[in-house]
Amino acid sequence: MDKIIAALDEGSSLIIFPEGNRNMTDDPLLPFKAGLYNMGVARPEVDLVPTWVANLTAIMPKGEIIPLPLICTETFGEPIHVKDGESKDDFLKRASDALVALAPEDRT
Amino acid sequence: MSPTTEDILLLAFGSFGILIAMTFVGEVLRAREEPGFNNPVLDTYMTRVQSWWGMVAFVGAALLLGKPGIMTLFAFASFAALREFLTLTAKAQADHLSLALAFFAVLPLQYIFVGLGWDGLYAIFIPVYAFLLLPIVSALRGYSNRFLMRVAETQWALMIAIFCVSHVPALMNLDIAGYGDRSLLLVAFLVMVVQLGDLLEYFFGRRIGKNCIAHELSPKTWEGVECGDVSAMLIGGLLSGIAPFGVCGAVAMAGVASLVGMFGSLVVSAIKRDRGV
Repeated sequence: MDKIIAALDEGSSLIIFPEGNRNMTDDPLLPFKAGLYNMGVARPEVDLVPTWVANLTAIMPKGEIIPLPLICTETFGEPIHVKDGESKDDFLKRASDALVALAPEDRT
Repeated sequence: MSPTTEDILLLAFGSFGILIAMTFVGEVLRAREEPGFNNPVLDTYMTRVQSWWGMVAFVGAALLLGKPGIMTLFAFASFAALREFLTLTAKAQADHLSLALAFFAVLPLQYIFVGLGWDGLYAIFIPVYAFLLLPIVSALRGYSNRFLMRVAETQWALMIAIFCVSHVPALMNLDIAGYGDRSLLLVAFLVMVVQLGDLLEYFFGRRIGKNCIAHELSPKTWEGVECGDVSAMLIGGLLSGIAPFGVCGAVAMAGVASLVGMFGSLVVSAIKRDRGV
């Protein structure tokens, strides 16, 4: 976490994968890890931009070696921030919902 | 300069002339629009004109480079089409290896066979060998959920995006008596009558189109298709000098190619509507 904060203070933009692992389930997202919340509390002014990367699982599922050159679409949402006094679970739920809301519907 | 190269340059400059006129008309119409108002028909038209600029530039450059140029261009077109198609089809992790093989083995091999002129092999490689072997690769992973749907949709993607597209450059393998090395021009003939037919179908459909062919799928109308096809036949007749069919043959070929192209685009529209794109 110290390295993350140091990087933020330098003005760097970071890409965080709050699930902390590759999702192999049928659920859209794994439960988020606490890191996103701790980051948001430490630097509340930093914009956390939810970003849905579609098709990643089809392009390179866990355990495969060759990535498929399929089309990959990124959808960006409104930035979110940890509110004053918001609990960890509430914030992570809100962040997760904001991300799922960006997912394109599955049509196959 | 060989007569073939001369014809290619002539076609390219002719196409550029048409495109300059079309871009000009579009820009004039746009300038006359009220500010802040966007006409969707004009927007579609301008997007199409832009993609035709690209098409003419790429096909023209590829034709001048000869057979290797055309092969490379169509191999890339296949790759782009396959990528787009397989993004929309049903698949599971169990298909990962067979899909990777489709991209990195089936596609290059098909173009190598076309390049080598092995017509006995490239005519059956995908409809027979890929059709039978790729489902085995998927089945070995032992996952049956929606299996038939997965393999059938993958095969559809291979047939359209690789097999069919690769048969355009395969026209260059045709050995036509008295036509010599000019078989490159067959590719130009096909692309031009189909594209111009499509353009005029769109134009006439907007102007005088009344009866939709299949309104759920596409705005194409019977009137548009009829006028577009007749125009394609006229253009085929005008271009008969670069084709080996004679004037009547060129008119008939252009009519058939353009008509099948328009109905093929209806099929692709049906697929897109189904997948919501």
